[in-house]
Formats: sequence, C-alpha cells, structure tokens
Amino acid sequence: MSRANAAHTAAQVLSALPYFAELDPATLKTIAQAATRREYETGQVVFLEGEPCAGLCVVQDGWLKVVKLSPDGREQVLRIVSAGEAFNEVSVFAVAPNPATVVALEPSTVWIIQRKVMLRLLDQHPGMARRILQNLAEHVLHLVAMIEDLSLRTVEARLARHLLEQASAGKLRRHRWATQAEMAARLGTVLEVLNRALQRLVAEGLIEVERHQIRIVDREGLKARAMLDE
Amino acid sequence: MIPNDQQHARQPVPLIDPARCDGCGLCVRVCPTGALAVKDGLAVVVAPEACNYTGLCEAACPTEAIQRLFEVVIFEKPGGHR
Repeated sequence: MSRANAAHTAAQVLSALPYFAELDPATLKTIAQAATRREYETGQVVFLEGEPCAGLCVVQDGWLKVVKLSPDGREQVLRIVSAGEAFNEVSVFAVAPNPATVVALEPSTVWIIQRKVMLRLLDQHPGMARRILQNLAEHVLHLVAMIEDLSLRTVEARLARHLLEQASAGKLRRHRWATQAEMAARLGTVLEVLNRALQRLVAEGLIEVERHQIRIVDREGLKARAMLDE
Repeated sequence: MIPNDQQHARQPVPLIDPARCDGCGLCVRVCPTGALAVKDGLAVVVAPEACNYTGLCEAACPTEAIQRLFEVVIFEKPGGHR
C-alpha cells in the first residue's frame, strides 16, 4: 500500500471513530499521516502488559481481546474489541505502561496513534476530549460491573448472563465460535468450573448442549438465573 | 484457529492446533468413534463424519491442542416458555 493510500485508509478508519467525529478533514488527515498500520495474525500478541505505552489503537478490522494474565497462565478477559473501536486509552492518558495484554482473536488490522499526537489533539479539541472522557467513564462502569460479577455472582449466574448476551432473538449478533476455554476466561474461571456450570444449567432445563451448539431453551429461566446473587 | 463460519457449521469437528500438538496420540486412544489418527506426528481428524463431539479428545489432550468450538443460539421450543 502506498503512503498516500495508507493515509487515505487511515483517515477513513479514524473518521468512523466517535472520538474523531468532530474533527475537520485537514486535522483528520494529519492524524492519519502520523498513524502506523499494523497487521496481526490469529493468536498474535499486539502488546504485553507492562510494556511502554504503544499509543492509542484503532481497529480497522478483526477482533481482539484485552486480558490480564496470572503467573500460572490463567487469563481474565477485560473486554473484546472489534472494527471501529479504540483501545489502550488508559495507557495513553494515564501516562503509564500498557495496563493489560492484547491478543488478536482473528487476523486484525490496527492503526496506532502516538501518545503525543493524542495529547496535542486533546488540547486543541475540547469536543473530542469530552467524547474520550465519556468513553473512559463507560469503561469504568463496565469494570465496576465486572468486579460486581466476579465478587458477588456465582459462575452459573455469570454464565447465564454471558449466554444471553451471546445470542439474541434466535440470531447471533455476530456469528462467532468460542471454545469453552475462551468462555472460562471471559467469566474469570477455569475450564473445569465452567464445565460444571454448563452441566448445572443443562440439569435445570435452561440450556441444551447439542454437538457444537449451546442452545438456550428457556430464556426467561436463564434471565432469572443470571440475576441470582448469592 | 478460528474456522470459516459456514464451513465449520456444516461439519463441526474439534480443531487441532499443529503448533501445540506433540503427536502423543492420547486423543486417538480416547476417541470412541475412531475419528482421529496421528499422521506425520500430528493428530488429525481423519473421519469427520464419525465425530460425535464428545470432547473426550479435548479433555485428554495434555497440550490443549484440541479445542471444540461452540455457538450460542436461542432455541425455544414451540408453545412458549417451559
């Protein structure tokens, strides 16, 4: 891809990001020219927790997970990011190393904008700063909900909610296959516990596991199970 | 490791990561339907039509090279809630 084409593509990707919605074309072009394009294969690490800040990352296409890893290899998925979303804001604005590890779940293209560029934009564009603040506040709310989930809800309740989120009105929001290990990582548990939780939901008649499908057969019952606090 | 959705939906079988598989053959020994074999030092699904997705291979694999993929669907039966 030529430099001009790359900058044009970057400008298109960045203009779709709500952060940059209010920027004029000339400013957007300047950011695009300074952005770096990176491609990642499935399973490839984008960056590791503790490494120097990589910059603000904007996903052009693909799917990635943001995870915390324990020394014994357990992982907790903090969030999943897909096309049109940004990640690593905390590192950029806290002036801190990357707080989590990011791994590509499928072939992904990411544009990276340097911290100094973002800080300059913040000074010059209060509208953009407000959008970023709003987004960071939403991340805080998400993490607070996650803490509540991990500390106050049973694995069954977490699993029930996760399954409901994955399926919607008989159609998948995104047709995505997941291994049970991946589900366990999202729910902050290990495979054996997830397996037992699945079996309990099956025994309660809320779901069925039929070959490669986890079928929600009693949505209302599963909703009630998802709200159970113990 | 993530398959083409349509292809996988037609004939879902456990996926084997060749980078992790050490060819130990445990999966072949536990598979009740003979769907797996070790070829050239790597486990492969040789009879996809025989695979009944029990997950025994996944549980037996010491290197976590075999994984089954699942999709989540709403599947409420006619007649409303149970």
